[in-house]
Amino acid sequence: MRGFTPYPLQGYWGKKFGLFVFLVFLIPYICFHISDEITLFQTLNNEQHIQLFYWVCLFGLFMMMNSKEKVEDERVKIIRAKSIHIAYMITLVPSFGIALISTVFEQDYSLLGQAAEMYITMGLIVYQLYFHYSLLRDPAWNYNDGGPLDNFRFSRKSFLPLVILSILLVLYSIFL
Amino acid sequence: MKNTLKVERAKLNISQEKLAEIVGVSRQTINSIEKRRFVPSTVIALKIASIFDCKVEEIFTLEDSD
Repeated sequence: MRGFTPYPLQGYWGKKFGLFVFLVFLIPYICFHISDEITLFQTLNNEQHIQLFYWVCLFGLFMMMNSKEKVEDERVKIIRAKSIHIAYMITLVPSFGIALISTVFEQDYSLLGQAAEMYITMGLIVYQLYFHYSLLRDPAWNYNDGGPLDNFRFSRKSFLPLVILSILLVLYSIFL
Repeated sequence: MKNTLKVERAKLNISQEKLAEIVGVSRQTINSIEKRRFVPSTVIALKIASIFDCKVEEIFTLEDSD
């Protein structure tokens, strides 16, 4: 249907607003991590402050993800679809691993919350990294219909950031 | 897919940004097309051809690997 968008994106203003929110609230998030003696809201303790700024930062990333680019053309749409796919796949694996190990082997269901939190956080971060990397570098294998090995042979360097990021995510899930 | 977009652009002395504005895409998309990193859709290819007043086949040609 022409003009029909099942999930309409915000305008470009949303991306600027989201980036502003993310950067502004990242500073107190780091400060509260460093020092236990800072207080902003009297009714909240240090851990609650950290969590509050953490989720506000994620909201900023979500706003950025939910916004159009300055010029929203078909290339950007293809990259956005690929980025969401990659973010979903990369973050699903460690979350799946944590959920499986915690429920089947450890029977510690409290880790499910951490798996969900990691899924949300890493998904947003991976999306932002991959989306903007693709916009700038435009790896050729995005548009290559060959199999995984063909894509790897075609553009080895493009996989390097993704491999590094995947390793970091696995290490994060191990030391969570 | 090969293309002579850069040559055609030079003939009319149009910048990538100007061409992108006319076609309705970003400058990065025009750059990606010229560097053969992105294959445009039929609509964009037709728009580009109409700007340069020539046929799509005169600007975009298939390669053996396509």
